[in-house]
Amino acid sequence: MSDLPTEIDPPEAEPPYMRDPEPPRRAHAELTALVEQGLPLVAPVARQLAKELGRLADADELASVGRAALFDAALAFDEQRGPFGPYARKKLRWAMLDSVRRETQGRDAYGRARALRAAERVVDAIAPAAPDPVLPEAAHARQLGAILAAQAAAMVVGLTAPYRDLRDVTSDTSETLAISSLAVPRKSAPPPPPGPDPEDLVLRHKSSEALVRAIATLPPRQREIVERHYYGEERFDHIAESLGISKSWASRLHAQAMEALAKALRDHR
Amino acid sequence: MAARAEKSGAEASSIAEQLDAFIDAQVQVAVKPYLGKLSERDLAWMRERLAASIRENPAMLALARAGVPLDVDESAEIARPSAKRDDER
Repeated sequence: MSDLPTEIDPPEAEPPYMRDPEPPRRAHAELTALVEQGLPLVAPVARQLAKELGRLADADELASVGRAALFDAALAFDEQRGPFGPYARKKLRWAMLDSVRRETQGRDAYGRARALRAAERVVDAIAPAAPDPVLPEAAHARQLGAILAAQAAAMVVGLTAPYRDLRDVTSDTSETLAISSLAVPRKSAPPPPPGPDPEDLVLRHKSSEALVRAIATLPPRQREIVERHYYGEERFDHIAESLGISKSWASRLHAQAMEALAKALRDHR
Repeated sequence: MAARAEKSGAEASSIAEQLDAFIDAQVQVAVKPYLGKLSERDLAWMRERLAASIRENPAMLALARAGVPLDVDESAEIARPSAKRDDER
């Protein structure tokens, strides 16, 4: 298990190094150079993501989202945290995943996009930068196993949480849906691509029942983050802000929640 | 010389196979709680993406390389997947 702080730590316990940094101010020429550097990444990232989603999303549409997101990535980039390429790749990917959910390209793409994003959030929060050379191989294997288990739980949350047509969401993004609700797509919306098989949906529904029971047993702040993000569709940064903690700290609590859910679901045979 | 290169290639291949088998086993363990609770299609997708999350993320791959239990040959030398042989340095 990780050595993450316990849920009972008050928000004030968040260490200063976890606070979100202010984005650096950049000259126009510098921004342009970063965008030009990132442009060749857009199409490959879009193609890769379309493949990962099982061709449920259109690579050209994803690339179009990526080009728009590149400028934001250049604005927020902090060179002290590493080179631009890997950073831009991650930001492009996340912007594209968010767009798949926002544009609701069908229930299947929506669930998979949410699952991928959830699993990546877990790795970002708890994967060590490098293995501790002092530890024996069995300890590394256990650490890897714990991260994978938390990722798998995060994927299951992403796949099974209610599907909601975000085109119906207007101004109130803080609205919390009842956990069992399923949104009905807007009548004027274009027909989405074919969704999952009925078998997938029946099994996902069964899993979601077990999951909802497990989520109810989480410590309060972890539960609030999971419910508001996956069942209420609130943005992660908005939740962090309303809880008075940084996005990084909220990601840590999210990862802790997924570790706890993995354990609960493993024991629930 | 050729025999040595051949041996080196075989060792590298064996290490890669051990790493692949280790990753596959870790992924199977992570997905096991959901067998019968998600469709085989969802499970197959999860296995594929979890394995990719190791292979495509340098930090996760380093952790997997550090965690893979390796066979020890008769020389009692342990060849790590990321390690270079003395004659390759």
